[in-house]
Amino acid sequence: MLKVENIYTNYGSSQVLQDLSLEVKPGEIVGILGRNGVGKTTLMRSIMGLTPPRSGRILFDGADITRMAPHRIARLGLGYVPQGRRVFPSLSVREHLQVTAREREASPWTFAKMIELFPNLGQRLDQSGAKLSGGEQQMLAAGRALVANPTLLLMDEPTEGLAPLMVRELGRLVGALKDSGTAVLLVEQQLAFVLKYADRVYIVAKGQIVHHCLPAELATDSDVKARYLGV
Amino acid sequence: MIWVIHTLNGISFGMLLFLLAAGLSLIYGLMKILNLTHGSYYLIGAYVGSTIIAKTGSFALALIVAPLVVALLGAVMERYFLRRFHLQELPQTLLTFGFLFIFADLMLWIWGGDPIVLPKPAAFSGSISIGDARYPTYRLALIAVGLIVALILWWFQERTRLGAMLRAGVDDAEIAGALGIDVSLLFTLVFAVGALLAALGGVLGGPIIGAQPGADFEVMLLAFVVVIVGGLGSLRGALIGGLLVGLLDNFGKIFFPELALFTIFVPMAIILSFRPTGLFGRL
Repeated sequence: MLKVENIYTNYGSSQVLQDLSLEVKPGEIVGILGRNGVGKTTLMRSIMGLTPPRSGRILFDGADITRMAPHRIARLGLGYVPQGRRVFPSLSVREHLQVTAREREASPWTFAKMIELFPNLGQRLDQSGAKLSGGEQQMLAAGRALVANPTLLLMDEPTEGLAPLMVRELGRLVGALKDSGTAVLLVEQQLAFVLKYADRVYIVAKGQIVHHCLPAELATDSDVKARYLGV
Repeated sequence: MIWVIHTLNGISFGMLLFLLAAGLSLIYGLMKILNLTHGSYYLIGAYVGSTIIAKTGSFALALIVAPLVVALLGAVMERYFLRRFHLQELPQTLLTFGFLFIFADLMLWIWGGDPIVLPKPAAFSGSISIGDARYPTYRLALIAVGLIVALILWWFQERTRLGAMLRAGVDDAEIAGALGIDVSLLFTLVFAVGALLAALGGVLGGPIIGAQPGADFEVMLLAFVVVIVGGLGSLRGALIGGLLVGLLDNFGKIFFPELALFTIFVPMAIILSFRPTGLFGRL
């Protein structure tokens, strides 16, 4: 469903992605691992149209989205949970879950469903997004992306700065996404989280995919883990 | 009783400033554009309104048509010029500065250099008694219109889905776009509405301030003070700031007529030294 083909992306004056290619198939949870500053966030921004690649192309459900405006990419069915969550301070929790809502045929993610999944948010519907805890903000960032009913959700370091309890909660969400057939491209630093939920894993170093494997293979491959992830 | 009169004068002028500042503030909040053409929208609104009244005799028609004409002008400016320089502050500011001069010359060419005062609508041409003084009903109507516009804008921004999209765009335009909100359409819409409000101020202000070359620059300056005092990107700030500057301007002219703008800029400097983002600003 998502095909990234040989993209080169600059960020500012430096070249961050070099000849990077990857693929996500329908319903798949794909993990992207790598150290800080190897270009993982830039990859997400490239796919989302926020930092379009200089060359190469990105296909989503067969459509060329390489230089499309971000809102049009989103409307094709790509959801985005940005790094650092970036909830809207002027919007209440309720508004977050309504403003981007879009129903599709057989769309599993509705306002009611999000409240059911995150009861914490349901109790704070009229609060500002900025007043929530970090974990709640992460759920809200996921929720506002999901109510648009994407077929592929991009999540950029969702566990960053979360308490273990919240990480478990997030895991529950990823599980629910998998059950509903929503594909996820998951950028992470937490190896354990990716190993637990991903179907396949790519490892990024210096703006390139350097390794591609199954989670089970990575778990036992201490050489790759030491070289690219520093663990 | 004279103080009531002066206060009402300050408030009614403040409402005009609010109409100007509301658009200026929203445009900056969403697009980070310092629109130096905003005063021109006001003056074009006043001139177009005067022509409509001269041709048809209807103030109401002027009040509807002139703002719509200027809204279209604002939308065209945004779509075909400012859009090319998204988030490039210097080119955008220079562009709006250029438009300011082009519009000023065009207005001089079309409407001449003599001051024009718009006739008051018949229904509000009289005055009422306040104690032992008489006060023009037009100015009271102006205050009412300002409050109604403020209420409509507040409702739109806080209670509609489009308003929530707008707030999301002001908070974080990039993420709003990545979530499927057509931010570029919001840009055009806000620019058009901002121009419309300024032109509405121009028509409404026409009977008391009039239209003349240079008024575009003067009102723009005051509108900037309002926005800076009230806080960029905040409607509430534009309203409170507008009233504050309107009152300061009025009483300043009474108490210190020789100091002119001094009475506005000194309070502005004091407010900024305590709240650098303005009274209600977040940016």
